[in-house]
Amino acid sequence: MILDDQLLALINGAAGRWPMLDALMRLLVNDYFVPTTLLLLLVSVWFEGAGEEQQKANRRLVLRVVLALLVVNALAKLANLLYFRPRPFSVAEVHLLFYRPSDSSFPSNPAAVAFVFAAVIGRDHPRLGLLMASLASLFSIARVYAGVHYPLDVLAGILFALAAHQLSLRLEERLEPIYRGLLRLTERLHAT
Amino acid sequence: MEFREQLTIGVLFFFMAYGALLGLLQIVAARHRRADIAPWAARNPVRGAALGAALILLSYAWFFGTHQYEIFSPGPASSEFAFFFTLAFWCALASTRVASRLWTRWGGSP
Repeated sequence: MILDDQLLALINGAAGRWPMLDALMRLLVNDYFVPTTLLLLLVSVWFEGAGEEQQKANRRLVLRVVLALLVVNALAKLANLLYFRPRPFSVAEVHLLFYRPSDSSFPSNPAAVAFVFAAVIGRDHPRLGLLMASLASLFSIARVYAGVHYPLDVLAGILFALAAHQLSLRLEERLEPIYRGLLRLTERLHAT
Repeated sequence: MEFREQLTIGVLFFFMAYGALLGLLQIVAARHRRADIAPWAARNPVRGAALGAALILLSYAWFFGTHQYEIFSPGPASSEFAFFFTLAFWCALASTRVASRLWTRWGGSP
Protein backbone atom coordinates (compact mmCIF):
# COMPACT_ATOMS: atom_id res chain seq x y z
CA MET A 1 0.00 0.00 0.00
CA ILE A 2 2.92 2.35 0.70
CA LEU A 3 4.30 1.69 -2.79
CA ASP A 4 0.80 2.29 -4.15
CA ASP A 5 0.62 5.68 -2.39
CA GLN A 6 4.11 6.58 -3.61
CA LEU A 7 3.28 5.68 -7.20
CA LEU A 8 0.06 7.70 -6.99
CA ALA A 9 2.02 10.68 -5.63
CA LEU A 10 4.55 10.34 -8.46
CA ILE A 11 2.00 10.12 -11.28
CA ASN A 12 -0.62 12.49 -9.87
CA GLY A 13 2.15 14.88 -8.77
CA ALA A 14 2.71 15.79 -12.41
CA ALA A 15 -0.89 17.06 -12.73
CA GLY A 16 -1.26 20.81 -12.81
CA ARG A 17 2.29 21.46 -14.04
CA TRP A 18 1.92 21.32 -17.81
CA PRO A 19 -1.41 22.59 -19.20
CA MET A 20 -0.98 20.65 -22.46
CA LEU A 21 -0.45 17.37 -20.61
CA ASP A 22 -3.42 18.13 -18.35
CA ALA A 23 -5.62 18.79 -21.40
CA LEU A 24 -4.53 15.49 -22.98
CA MET A 25 -5.20 13.59 -19.76
CA ARG A 26 -8.62 15.25 -19.36
CA LEU A 27 -9.45 14.03 -22.87
CA LEU A 28 -8.29 10.49 -22.04
CA VAL A 29 -9.74 10.23 -18.53
CA ASN A 30 -13.40 10.94 -19.27
CA ASP A 31 -16.06 8.24 -19.57
CA TYR A 32 -16.50 8.67 -23.33
CA PHE A 33 -13.29 9.11 -25.36
CA VAL A 34 -11.52 5.77 -24.93
CA PRO A 35 -14.68 3.62 -24.51
CA THR A 36 -16.22 5.08 -27.69
CA THR A 37 -12.99 4.57 -29.64
CA LEU A 38 -12.76 0.96 -28.44
CA LEU A 39 -16.38 0.38 -29.46
CA LEU A 40 -15.74 1.85 -32.91
CA LEU A 41 -12.79 -0.52 -33.33
CA LEU A 42 -15.04 -3.39 -32.21
CA VAL A 43 -17.67 -2.45 -34.80
CA SER A 44 -14.93 -2.47 -37.46
CA VAL A 45 -14.10 -6.08 -36.43
CA TRP A 46 -17.77 -6.97 -37.02
CA PHE A 47 -17.44 -6.05 -40.71
CA GLU A 48 -13.87 -7.35 -41.12
CA GLY A 49 -13.03 -10.59 -42.95
CA ALA A 50 -12.18 -11.70 -46.48
CA GLY A 51 -14.61 -14.60 -46.76
CA GLU A 52 -17.89 -15.60 -45.17
CA GLU A 53 -16.20 -17.95 -42.70
CA GLN A 54 -13.79 -15.28 -41.52
CA GLN A 55 -16.63 -12.80 -41.14
CA LYS A 56 -18.57 -15.30 -39.05
CA ALA A 57 -15.51 -15.88 -36.86
CA ASN A 58 -15.12 -12.13 -36.36
CA ARG A 59 -18.77 -11.68 -35.44
CA ARG A 60 -18.43 -14.49 -32.92
CA LEU A 61 -15.39 -12.65 -31.53
CA VAL A 62 -17.48 -9.49 -31.08
CA LEU A 63 -20.12 -11.49 -29.18
CA ARG A 64 -17.30 -12.91 -27.03
CA VAL A 65 -16.27 -9.34 -26.12
CA VAL A 66 -19.87 -8.56 -25.12
CA LEU A 67 -20.00 -11.69 -22.94
CA ALA A 68 -16.62 -10.88 -21.34
CA LEU A 69 -17.85 -7.32 -20.64
CA LEU A 70 -20.89 -8.72 -18.82
CA VAL A 71 -18.65 -11.07 -16.83
CA VAL A 72 -16.14 -8.35 -15.87
CA ASN A 73 -18.95 -6.04 -14.72
CA ALA A 74 -20.36 -8.83 -12.56
CA LEU A 75 -16.91 -9.55 -11.08
CA ALA A 76 -16.32 -5.86 -10.33
CA LYS A 77 -19.75 -5.50 -8.68
CA LEU A 78 -18.99 -8.53 -6.53
CA ALA A 79 -15.62 -7.08 -5.53
CA ASN A 80 -17.31 -3.76 -4.69
CA LEU A 81 -19.73 -5.59 -2.37
CA LEU A 82 -16.91 -7.38 -0.58
CA TYR A 83 -14.43 -4.54 -0.25
CA PHE A 84 -14.80 -0.76 -0.36
CA ARG A 85 -11.67 1.29 -0.94
CA PRO A 86 -12.07 5.07 -0.70
CA ARG A 87 -10.98 7.14 -3.68
CA PRO A 88 -7.57 8.84 -3.44
CA PHE A 89 -9.13 12.34 -3.34
CA SER A 90 -11.23 11.44 -0.29
CA VAL A 91 -8.30 10.37 1.89
CA ALA A 92 -5.36 12.44 0.65
CA GLU A 93 -4.40 15.72 -0.98
CA VAL A 94 -4.40 15.09 -4.73
CA HIS A 95 -4.65 17.17 -7.91
CA LEU A 96 -8.18 16.24 -9.00
CA LEU A 97 -8.84 16.65 -12.74
CA PHE A 98 -12.16 14.84 -12.81
CA TYR A 99 -15.51 14.75 -11.01
CA ARG A 100 -15.74 12.87 -7.71
CA PRO A 101 -17.00 9.31 -8.29
CA SER A 102 -18.73 7.91 -5.19
CA ASP A 103 -18.21 4.16 -5.78
CA SER A 104 -15.27 2.05 -4.62
CA SER A 105 -11.83 2.79 -6.02
CA PHE A 106 -10.95 -0.95 -6.13
CA PRO A 107 -10.87 -2.38 -8.75
CA SER A 108 -10.69 0.21 -11.52
CA ASN A 109 -13.82 -0.59 -13.55
CA PRO A 110 -12.73 1.56 -16.52
CA ALA A 111 -9.38 -0.28 -16.68
CA ALA A 112 -11.12 -3.66 -16.39
CA VAL A 113 -13.58 -2.84 -19.18
CA ALA A 114 -10.92 -1.37 -21.50
CA PHE A 115 -8.53 -4.29 -21.03
CA VAL A 116 -11.32 -6.80 -21.77
CA PHE A 117 -11.40 -5.46 -25.35
CA ALA A 118 -7.62 -5.90 -25.70
CA ALA A 119 -7.56 -9.37 -24.10
CA VAL A 120 -10.35 -10.85 -26.24
CA ILE A 121 -9.53 -9.20 -29.56
CA GLY A 122 -5.75 -9.56 -29.14
CA ARG A 123 -6.01 -13.35 -29.25
CA ASP A 124 -7.21 -13.38 -32.88
CA HIS A 125 -6.03 -9.95 -34.09
CA PRO A 126 -2.68 -9.22 -32.37
CA ARG A 127 -2.10 -5.82 -33.99
CA LEU A 128 -5.58 -4.54 -33.19
CA GLY A 129 -5.24 -6.03 -29.72
CA LEU A 130 -2.03 -4.09 -29.23
CA LEU A 131 -3.73 -0.87 -30.31
CA MET A 132 -6.58 -1.55 -27.89
CA ALA A 133 -4.12 -2.38 -25.09
CA SER A 134 -2.33 0.94 -25.75
CA LEU A 135 -5.62 2.84 -25.50
CA ALA A 136 -6.55 0.91 -22.34
CA SER A 137 -3.12 1.72 -20.82
CA LEU A 138 -3.45 5.43 -21.59
CA PHE A 139 -6.97 5.39 -20.12
CA SER A 140 -5.66 3.72 -16.96
CA ILE A 141 -2.68 6.05 -16.56
CA ALA A 142 -5.02 9.01 -17.03
CA ARG A 143 -7.28 7.73 -14.21
CA VAL A 144 -4.29 7.72 -11.83
CA TYR A 145 -2.97 11.04 -13.17
CA ALA A 146 -6.42 12.62 -12.60
CA GLY A 147 -6.52 11.40 -8.98
CA VAL A 148 -9.51 9.04 -9.18
CA HIS A 149 -7.67 5.70 -8.89
CA TYR A 150 -4.60 4.18 -7.23
CA PRO A 151 -2.16 2.21 -9.43
CA LEU A 152 -3.14 -0.99 -7.56
CA ASP A 153 -6.79 -0.46 -8.60
CA VAL A 154 -5.66 -0.39 -12.23
CA LEU A 155 -3.55 -3.52 -11.78
CA ALA A 156 -6.55 -5.27 -10.24
CA GLY A 157 -8.69 -4.07 -13.16
CA ILE A 158 -6.26 -5.71 -15.61
CA LEU A 159 -6.37 -8.99 -13.65
CA PHE A 160 -10.17 -8.84 -13.59
CA ALA A 161 -10.18 -8.37 -17.37
CA LEU A 162 -7.94 -11.41 -17.88
CA ALA A 163 -10.11 -13.47 -15.51
CA ALA A 164 -13.28 -12.37 -17.33
CA HIS A 165 -11.72 -13.38 -20.65
CA GLN A 166 -10.91 -16.87 -19.36
CA LEU A 167 -14.34 -17.25 -17.74
CA SER A 168 -16.14 -16.14 -20.89
CA LEU A 169 -14.17 -18.74 -22.91
CA ARG A 170 -15.35 -21.43 -20.50
CA LEU A 171 -18.93 -20.17 -20.60
CA GLU A 172 -18.95 -20.08 -24.38
CA GLU A 173 -19.68 -23.79 -24.87
CA ARG A 174 -22.72 -23.60 -22.60
CA LEU A 175 -23.97 -20.49 -24.38
CA GLU A 176 -23.47 -21.92 -27.87
CA PRO A 177 -27.23 -22.06 -28.73
CA ILE A 178 -27.61 -18.38 -27.75
CA TYR A 179 -24.53 -17.45 -29.80
CA ARG A 180 -25.87 -19.27 -32.86
CA GLY A 181 -29.28 -17.66 -32.47
CA LEU A 182 -27.75 -14.18 -32.19
CA LEU A 183 -25.53 -14.76 -35.22
CA ARG A 184 -28.51 -15.96 -37.30
CA LEU A 185 -30.50 -12.91 -36.20
CA THR A 186 -27.72 -10.50 -37.15
CA GLU A 187 -27.29 -12.22 -40.52
CA ARG A 188 -30.99 -11.67 -41.22
CA LEU A 189 -30.73 -8.05 -40.17
CA HIS A 190 -27.72 -7.58 -42.44
CA ALA A 191 -29.60 -9.10 -45.36
CA THR A 192 -32.50 -6.63 -45.07
CA MET B 1 -27.24 13.82 -11.03
CA GLU B 2 -30.79 14.45 -12.12
CA PHE B 3 -32.55 12.31 -14.69
CA ARG B 4 -32.94 15.25 -17.07
CA GLU B 5 -29.19 16.00 -17.04
CA GLN B 6 -28.38 12.32 -17.59
CA LEU B 7 -30.80 12.21 -20.50
CA THR B 8 -29.16 15.32 -21.97
CA ILE B 9 -25.68 13.79 -21.93
CA GLY B 10 -27.14 10.52 -23.21
CA VAL B 11 -28.74 12.27 -26.20
CA LEU B 12 -25.56 14.29 -26.91
CA PHE B 13 -23.54 11.08 -26.77
CA PHE B 14 -26.03 9.40 -29.12
CA PHE B 15 -25.49 12.13 -31.75
CA MET B 16 -21.71 11.89 -31.42
CA ALA B 17 -21.78 8.09 -31.70
CA TYR B 18 -24.18 8.33 -34.65
CA GLY B 19 -21.83 10.68 -36.55
CA ALA B 20 -18.75 8.61 -35.73
CA LEU B 21 -20.49 5.37 -36.75
CA LEU B 22 -21.63 6.92 -40.02
CA GLY B 23 -17.95 7.73 -40.61
CA LEU B 24 -16.85 4.23 -39.68
CA LEU B 25 -19.38 2.71 -42.10
CA GLN B 26 -17.96 4.87 -44.92
CA ILE B 27 -14.49 3.50 -44.11
CA VAL B 28 -15.83 -0.09 -43.98
CA ALA B 29 -17.58 0.38 -47.35
CA ALA B 30 -14.41 1.85 -48.87
CA ARG B 31 -12.14 -0.84 -47.44
CA HIS B 32 -14.30 -3.82 -48.41
CA ARG B 33 -15.99 -2.31 -51.49
CA ARG B 34 -19.40 -2.75 -49.81
CA ALA B 35 -21.80 -1.08 -52.24
CA ASP B 36 -24.74 -2.18 -50.07
CA ILE B 37 -23.51 0.11 -47.28
CA ALA B 38 -22.22 3.13 -49.21
CA PRO B 39 -21.95 2.80 -53.03
CA TRP B 40 -20.16 6.15 -53.35
CA ALA B 41 -17.44 4.94 -50.97
CA ALA B 42 -17.20 1.53 -52.65
CA ARG B 43 -16.76 3.19 -56.05
CA ASN B 44 -14.11 5.64 -54.86
CA PRO B 45 -12.39 4.14 -51.77
CA VAL B 46 -9.97 7.04 -51.20
CA ARG B 47 -12.76 9.61 -51.09
CA GLY B 48 -14.95 7.24 -49.09
CA ALA B 49 -12.24 6.71 -46.47
CA ALA B 50 -11.51 10.46 -46.33
CA LEU B 51 -15.22 11.21 -45.85
CA GLY B 52 -15.40 8.58 -43.11
CA ALA B 53 -12.35 9.91 -41.28
CA ALA B 54 -13.71 13.47 -41.53
CA LEU B 55 -17.08 12.40 -40.08
CA ILE B 56 -15.37 10.67 -37.14
CA LEU B 57 -13.08 13.63 -36.45
CA LEU B 58 -15.92 16.17 -36.69
CA SER B 59 -18.14 14.13 -34.37
CA TYR B 60 -15.33 13.84 -31.80
CA ALA B 61 -14.40 17.53 -32.13
CA TRP B 62 -18.03 18.63 -31.68
CA PHE B 63 -18.62 16.44 -28.63
CA PHE B 64 -15.30 16.75 -26.82
CA GLY B 65 -14.68 20.35 -27.84
CA THR B 66 -18.03 21.89 -26.97
CA HIS B 67 -19.58 19.84 -24.16
CA GLN B 68 -16.95 19.98 -21.44
CA TYR B 69 -19.50 20.58 -18.66
CA GLU B 70 -21.56 17.50 -19.52
CA ILE B 71 -18.48 15.32 -20.12
CA PHE B 72 -17.03 16.19 -16.72
CA SER B 73 -20.24 15.52 -14.81
CA PRO B 74 -21.29 12.04 -13.67
CA GLY B 75 -22.85 10.53 -16.78
CA PRO B 76 -24.95 7.54 -17.72
CA ALA B 77 -24.19 4.11 -16.26
CA SER B 78 -22.42 1.60 -18.48
CA SER B 79 -25.71 -0.08 -19.42
CA GLU B 80 -27.21 3.25 -20.55
CA PHE B 81 -23.98 4.08 -22.38
CA ALA B 82 -24.26 0.71 -24.21
CA PHE B 83 -27.93 1.38 -25.00
CA PHE B 84 -27.21 4.76 -26.62
CA PHE B 85 -24.26 3.35 -28.58
CA THR B 86 -26.29 0.37 -29.85
CA LEU B 87 -29.16 2.66 -30.83
CA ALA B 88 -26.70 4.92 -32.68
CA PHE B 89 -25.24 1.88 -34.48
CA TRP B 90 -28.62 0.68 -35.82
CA CYS B 91 -29.64 4.23 -36.77
CA ALA B 92 -26.34 4.76 -38.64
CA LEU B 93 -26.64 1.41 -40.43
CA ALA B 94 -30.26 2.10 -41.39
CA SER B 95 -29.36 5.62 -42.62
CA THR B 96 -26.55 4.38 -44.86
CA ARG B 97 -28.73 1.58 -46.25
CA VAL B 98 -31.57 4.01 -47.08
CA ALA B 99 -29.11 6.53 -48.56
CA SER B 100 -27.45 3.83 -50.70
CA ARG B 101 -30.85 2.66 -52.05
CA LEU B 102 -31.85 6.23 -52.89
CA TRP B 103 -28.47 6.81 -54.52
CA THR B 104 -28.92 3.71 -56.71
CA ARG B 105 -32.54 4.58 -57.54
CA TRP B 106 -31.64 8.13 -58.56
CA GLY B 107 -29.03 6.98 -61.02
CA GLY B 108 -25.84 6.72 -59.00
CA SER B 109 -23.74 3.72 -59.94
CA PRO B 110 -24.09 0.78 -57.48
